[in-house]
Amino acid sequence: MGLSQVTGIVFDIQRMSMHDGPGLRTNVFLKGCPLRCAWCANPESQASYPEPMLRAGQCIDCGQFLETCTHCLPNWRGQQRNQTQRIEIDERVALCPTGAVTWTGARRAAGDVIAEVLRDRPFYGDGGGMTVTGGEPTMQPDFCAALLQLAHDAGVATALETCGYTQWAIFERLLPHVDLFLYDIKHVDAAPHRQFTGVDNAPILTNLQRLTAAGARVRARIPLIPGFNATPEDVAAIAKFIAYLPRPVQGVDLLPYHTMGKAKYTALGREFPWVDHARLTDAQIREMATIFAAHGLAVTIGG
Amino acid sequence: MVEQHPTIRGGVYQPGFYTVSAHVPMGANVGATPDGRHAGAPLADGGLSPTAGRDRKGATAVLHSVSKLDLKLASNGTLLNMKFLPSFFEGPEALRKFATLLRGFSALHIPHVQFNVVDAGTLRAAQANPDEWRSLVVRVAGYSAYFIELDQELQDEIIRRSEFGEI
Repeated sequence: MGLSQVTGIVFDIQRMSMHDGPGLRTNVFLKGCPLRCAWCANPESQASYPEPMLRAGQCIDCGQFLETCTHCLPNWRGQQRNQTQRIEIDERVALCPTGAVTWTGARRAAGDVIAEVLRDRPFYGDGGGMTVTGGEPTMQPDFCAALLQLAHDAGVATALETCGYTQWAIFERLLPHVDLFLYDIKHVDAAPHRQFTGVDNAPILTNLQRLTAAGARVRARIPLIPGFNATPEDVAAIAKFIAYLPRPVQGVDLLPYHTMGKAKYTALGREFPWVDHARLTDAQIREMATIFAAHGLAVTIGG
Repeated sequence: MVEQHPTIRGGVYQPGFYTVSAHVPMGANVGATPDGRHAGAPLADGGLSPTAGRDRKGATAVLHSVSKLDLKLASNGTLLNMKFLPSFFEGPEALRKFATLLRGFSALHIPHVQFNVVDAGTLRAAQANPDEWRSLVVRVAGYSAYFIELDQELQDEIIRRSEFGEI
């Protein structure tokens, strides 16, 4: 089977992204993530299978079904659908006059995705290209490798955004086809990491050390989450870890906590798990940036 | 086809793809269109701009679609409007990215584009009429999102911030 025929579950392709890597980029979002970060802004990226979403605000109660979609939603929550449910949801998606009901996530062939990515080739000058993100793209290693390699074959620069929680062998395989890693570091302390992301951070930290040692170009990305890691002490520990990697990173991007994903939880019929946390003030964010700068790291705020 | 019809004084018509501000009165006399536009609703706000809310895939996709037309036929000129928030132009890195967009635009041989930078008033209009502003993208803290898909609460916050020009 050729690389173009390898398939995977994609939940979005975002063209002209200005924030996830250099230049103008096309972001390919792969569905499925091994982490369950309590503050996650893209809850639809977590499950590895397609899920129905209902944007209740766009529903006009069209009356095409005995049960309204709003009424049906509770039965759709966080589970793989059986055949009958899938058909029922397909019907609703096909007939919805406003686009309020959609499937998020669809199986697509790598060649088909790359064709869409190549449409923006005139805009990939000045360092731009394709970013494969998610979810966690390494959860679909064959598909991810196919996308990266096809992009390289077409002369398009690549970036891979990753939470780092994967097997080293997978990174090793992807390494030749990734021009830039956007690598998330959330906490260097194991206990809070396990509590708020659901997984141990040891593989994440080790993989980053090995990636830099292997000569990968890396930008570290730090979500600043009040109530989790947005204290001067936690941030200093992260800065220190990054400053002492085997080889230096290209820079550090600070990603301040936001609640833009809140409506998506509602659309998926889930509760937003991370409430009661105020957003950081600009002064607080600048203070965190100073800590990274003091460790000799080039730091930017926002992607 | 235009060439087959001389003007009343024997001249030639020069086709132009622009409506300037006539898209509202012209739209009032056009019936419903298959793209879902209601009868009497405004047409696109420039001869080449997408009808409000139809551009779902961003600025590069708009430029691509426009580049598919043979614009040499429009000897009277063309008009393409694009809208961005002030944040799109903020800082040297953002300006570089804007320059990249312009280089792509000229690589696609499109003769004309003009940019509007939207303000808080526009965002309020988008809040009131989400269907017409489906494609408006805003940025908050390193993330981009369609404005109309955000919570009302967050929309209000972005409106407040845009009034101070700091999105």
